[in-house]
Amino acid sequence: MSDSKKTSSVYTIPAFQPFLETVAKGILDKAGNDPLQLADFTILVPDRETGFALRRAFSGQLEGKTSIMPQIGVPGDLDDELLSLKISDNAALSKRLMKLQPAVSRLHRQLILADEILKIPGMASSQQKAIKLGGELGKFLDEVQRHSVDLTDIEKLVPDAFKDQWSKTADFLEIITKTWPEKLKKMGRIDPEIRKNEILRIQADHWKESEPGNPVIALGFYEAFPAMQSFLKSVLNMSKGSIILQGFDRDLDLESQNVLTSVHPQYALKSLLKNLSVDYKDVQLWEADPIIDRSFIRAPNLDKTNKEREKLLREAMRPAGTTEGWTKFKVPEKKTKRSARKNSKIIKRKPPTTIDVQALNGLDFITCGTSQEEASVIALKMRESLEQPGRKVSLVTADRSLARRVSARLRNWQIKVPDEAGIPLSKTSVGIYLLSTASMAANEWAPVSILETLKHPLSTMGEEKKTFRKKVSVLEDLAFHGARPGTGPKGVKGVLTAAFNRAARNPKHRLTKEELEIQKTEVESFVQKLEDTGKDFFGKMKKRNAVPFKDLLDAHIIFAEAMACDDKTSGADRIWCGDDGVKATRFLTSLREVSEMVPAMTGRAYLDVLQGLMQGVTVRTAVTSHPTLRIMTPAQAQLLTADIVILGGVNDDVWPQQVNENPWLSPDMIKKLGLPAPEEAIGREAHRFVQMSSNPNVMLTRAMRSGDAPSVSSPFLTRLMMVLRAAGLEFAVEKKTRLLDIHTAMHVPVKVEPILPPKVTPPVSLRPKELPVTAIQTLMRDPYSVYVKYVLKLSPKAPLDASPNVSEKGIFTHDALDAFVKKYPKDLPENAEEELLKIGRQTFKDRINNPTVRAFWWPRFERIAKWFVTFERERREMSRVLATEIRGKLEIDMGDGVFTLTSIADRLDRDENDKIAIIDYKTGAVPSQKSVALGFSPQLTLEALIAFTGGFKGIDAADVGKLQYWKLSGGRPAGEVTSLQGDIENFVAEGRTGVESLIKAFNKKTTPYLPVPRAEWAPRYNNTEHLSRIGEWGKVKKVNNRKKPKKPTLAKKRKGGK
Amino acid sequence: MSAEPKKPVSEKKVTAKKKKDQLDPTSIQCRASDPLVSAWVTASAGTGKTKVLTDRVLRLMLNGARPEEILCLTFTRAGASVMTNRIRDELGTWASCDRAALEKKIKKLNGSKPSEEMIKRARQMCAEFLDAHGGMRIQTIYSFSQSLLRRFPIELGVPPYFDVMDNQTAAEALREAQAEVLRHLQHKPNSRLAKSVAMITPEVSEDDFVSLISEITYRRGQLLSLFEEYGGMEKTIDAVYEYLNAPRGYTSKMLHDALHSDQGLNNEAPDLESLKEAMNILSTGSASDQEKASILKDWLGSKPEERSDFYREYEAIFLTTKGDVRKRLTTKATQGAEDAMRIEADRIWRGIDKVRDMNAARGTNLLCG
Repeated sequence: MSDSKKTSSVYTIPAFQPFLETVAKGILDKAGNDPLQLADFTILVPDRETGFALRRAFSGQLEGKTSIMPQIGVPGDLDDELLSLKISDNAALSKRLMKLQPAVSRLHRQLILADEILKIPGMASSQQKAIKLGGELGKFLDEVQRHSVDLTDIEKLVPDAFKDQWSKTADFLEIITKTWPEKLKKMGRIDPEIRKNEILRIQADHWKESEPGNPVIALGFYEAFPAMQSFLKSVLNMSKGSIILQGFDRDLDLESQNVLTSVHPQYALKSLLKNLSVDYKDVQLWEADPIIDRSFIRAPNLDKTNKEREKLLREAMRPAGTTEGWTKFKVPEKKTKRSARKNSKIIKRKPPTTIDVQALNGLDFITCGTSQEEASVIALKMRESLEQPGRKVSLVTADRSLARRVSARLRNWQIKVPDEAGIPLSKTSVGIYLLSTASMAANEWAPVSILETLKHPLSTMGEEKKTFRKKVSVLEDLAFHGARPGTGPKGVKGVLTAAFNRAARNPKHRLTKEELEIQKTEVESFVQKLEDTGKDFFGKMKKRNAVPFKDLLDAHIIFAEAMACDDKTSGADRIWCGDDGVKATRFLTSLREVSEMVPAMTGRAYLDVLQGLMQGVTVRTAVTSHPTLRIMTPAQAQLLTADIVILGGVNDDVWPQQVNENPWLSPDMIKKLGLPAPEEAIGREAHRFVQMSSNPNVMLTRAMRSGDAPSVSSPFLTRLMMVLRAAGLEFAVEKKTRLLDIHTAMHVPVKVEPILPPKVTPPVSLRPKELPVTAIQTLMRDPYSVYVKYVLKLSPKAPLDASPNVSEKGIFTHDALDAFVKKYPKDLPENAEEELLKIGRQTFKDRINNPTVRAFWWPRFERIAKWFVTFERERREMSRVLATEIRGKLEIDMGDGVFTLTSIADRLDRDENDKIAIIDYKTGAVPSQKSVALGFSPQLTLEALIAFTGGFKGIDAADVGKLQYWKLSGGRPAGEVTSLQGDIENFVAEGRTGVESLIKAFNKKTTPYLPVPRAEWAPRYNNTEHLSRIGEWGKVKKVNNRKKPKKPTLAKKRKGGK
Repeated sequence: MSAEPKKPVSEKKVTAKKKKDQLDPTSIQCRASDPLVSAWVTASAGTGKTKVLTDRVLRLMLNGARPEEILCLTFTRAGASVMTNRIRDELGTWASCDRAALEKKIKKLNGSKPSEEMIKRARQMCAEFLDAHGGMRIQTIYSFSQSLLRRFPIELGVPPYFDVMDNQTAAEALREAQAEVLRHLQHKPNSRLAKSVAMITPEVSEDDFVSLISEITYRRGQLLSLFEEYGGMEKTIDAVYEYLNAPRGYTSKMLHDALHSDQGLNNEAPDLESLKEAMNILSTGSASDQEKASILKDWLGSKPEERSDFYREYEAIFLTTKGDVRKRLTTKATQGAEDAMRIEADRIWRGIDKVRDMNAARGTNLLCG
């Protein structure tokens, strides 16, 4: 500082003053309260947002008076042209500016770094990861360059003992220390931070030589890197230049000043002053009395509260080296009896400090159980504030998920308050649309990826929304539920053809032939249109060879736009609007600018790159989305004011956040290089905490639990509590429960009553008059399932892109064996095994290309075939095949009508005793002898009954000699025959009585279709459990079961009844 | 901490002892929290393990250790939070309580009256502890390991700025990767991997395959060091065969055949004469005895090479479905057959055990081959 100058051009505004308003009012005062004089001032702010906020603060202080705003700018942000105009009279500086090369775009740099990273094996598992890492390396480079640090001699900083280990990192860092600078040189560009620093220096040098005559004020700067320091110095050196700090503590005791460390809120300001060669005693108060609405302030004596709060926070943040001072408080004697009693024992010292209870006026602490509860309480507070119009409430939190929760809760009340921290482009609607369209092409119409595109609100493909949605839903049902179609449009068309053929063959289909025809034409032309719309893009994306990046990008944008137009508006107009749309345009434009320099790649890599890049692009919602409510990060909120400030998520590792590990440099190296220590981030957050806790109305909230573990409160909050305790004010902190009580009343039920098991009793007319034998088993084990399937006629929809399931395996095996036995009913050919395998291959069809089927099912089928053929050859010497997959039925007279029992038997043989053998192929578990004897697995018994009565088509009534399960697991052994032991005639007779009494029982209006009446006989697979809500009453029922003796059920009655 | 001899103490004594512990700085807890000794503390829940740890940290700091020099590891996040909160609470009291109380606390903890210097330090420790972000680490072993990986990614061979997958994503990724490998192998049926996969997949179900592969991936470190120790995969397989004393080149059928032959497996021939006698005795017994007799009869009556049809039934006489020797082989009435049956049961058990070993060795071979 030149000594000719006044010593007092650094000012501070205490934390409890609204910063920007006080600045504005002060400047207005200096302008002699003449709004037109404001134009003489040049004001420098740290970022554009602060600039906007300052303009608003000026309008507030002007109270509607006409004015010309001062020039407000961000240092280093100055347009080249404007700067060159300013320095045009200085030849040397003009030359420096002319020589300055243009900056490379960060996006371009990220892409090139990612490309270099991919060249090193093991550094990134995918393009996406490489892009992310490229972004991080770029940030590291920015940080290093901003602080004017040179990395060339970085190896010299490593202690010898670690040289070998570090050499690997050094090799990797060559990407930014060697490769990148060379590339940059070739491109004729420089890094953005280097350029910005040079601009700052040119500006500073310019002011050094020709000082502006009008006042220049820099405000809100907190920490400064070398170039910014020299810039600020040049401001200070002007006769009319000044700097306004926020919340510099002029009253911090000297002892603390000397020992404060980088985690202290004043640390950065202290070092800033030191670098500007300003003695802290020379910092003056920026005095102004801004016009603010004080109607919401609770404190009866605001000045007193401010003073005491300032003291409280100063004490709370006391550097560790002087915290023994906490015991020197004079504790107010009267507060509580307990503390009074304690104090009587102390050896009394001189009490140098006291904190008055007024410090707590307007400072509330709310501790919630969970973060859900916390979100609810905060949302209630914000909602409540709307009852008093004009009251401004800001939620300030470092916890983004808390912010999201609060925003969601407010949305329930139709209040739209977005989190101003923003979200990654990849998570916005437009971002998702862009990624899903690319994913659909890269994955060649894989079910989930194509539906993601088709069901996105932006997709309309030139049609009216409603009709488009309808078509998509038809296509979805026909093509994508169940096994995955083959790739691309061809695969989908194939599945559609098959589906329509099947529908045409089904006489019970809900659509008529004509309707099906219409639907077919419609769906097929829809698929054709989709194919045509994206033809170019799909073609490029599925190529195995690399395609120029620009071609992919352009084709993608064309497809996305074509997909998004509806019957009225063009696709471009529908996509590129809104916060996310605008941001996406900007992102894609800059990506397009550098796209020719990006290496060619495959469609998959393109998707990956896009994903990686879009994760790093943040979309912020326009600030003015709600007139009074806001949700912000501590950094965004620091310079702003609100009537009520809610500080949420005040927990450890949230605020302040855990310091990220630096993978490149050790703390020691960071220090030696002159980069800021990572802990300085904590000091900065501490400063924000103090700033915001100084507001007249503050609510601090935290949750006691985070996830599944108890949480730890933020060290800032803990420090505050310590001081309150030391000062004997602990008991003065009121327990605020009102909001929590409202939350409880809203969300916690007074009484929880579990539902009872359903007891559905549909009218007899709706009950099934025909059931297959397999359903009889279900009717005993889980009547409710029969109700769902045969009364409600509901059946589960196959999942999207279904993986091969057990029942599918059974169907394949059955079908193959059926076809084989039908083809060779008498003698087996020489090459029977080969033949069976051939038939198997035909049955499995496309499904055999599924890796699971190919690797696991097919070898098992091969073994089944081998076993089957060997066994069959031997068997046929004794018996012959009567029929396979044969339909049969039995009519049961119920008095008021006839009930039909139907069956499709896997196979009927005539055995050596001329009796019928009934065979069931089982690929899963075989029912136990016991469950058959008890009647819980009546399938074979009932089929025997049908055979006895001549119910099988074309087969005369005959005695049944054998009931057999052929277990075809394909394991070791591959097949196993289980014959049911015991008197078959007896079984059949019992089966008849059983099924008749069962059917009769369910033919009564009063018999309910109970879900799982006996847990021990519950069916193995049950797909109606969610409908019967068994999860809710299941436990209750079990308890009851244990208490009561077992009720006789239908099965038992049947046995006893005989 | 378990150094004291255990004595049965009455309820009253326990309280008395507790009191003594509180007053006596040389109590067990205090000894365990002495920073100068290494201690292994085991105790049941709620008996003060965390207190010992907390005390230890406090004593370390009190005697001059900087918080960033201390590392506390727990296994659960809850454990870490509880410990942090306890230390904070205690230090908070130290920072604000009156001098006499503080002196008493320190004396109890450290065993001696604190110096003026120590009192000052005790007062400052709370703030020091709070400031020591990333210095005083109280964390789970998982997050500590992660922080090491994040700090030294290149040295440790992981991608910098990696993300940690949750279990579900990992399971999905594994499934996806498996499908990818299987799909890939369809195009390369003659590769070594394809052959080895083709040997395994028929033996396990698709679900078991997933858990098998997960297990292997999870233990890949152990496997690799095993291979290293034995000098490669082939040699490791040899070592497994050797360890299990399992014959090479046999299938389980071959071993079964040997077991049921007249010569037996490993020269342990069945005592056919005694078995015939046992059969005769059993045929006079209960229904279940008679059933056994009939199986024995079939078995003894067939040529050794035809016995393979009876393996299951025959073995089931002697062994349970789990493969243990049956507790009851005969009934009271057929006691006379007991000895012969017991001897045969043991022989069969040893034979089956050998088959199991062989299967284990063969499984290893399949997996590694």
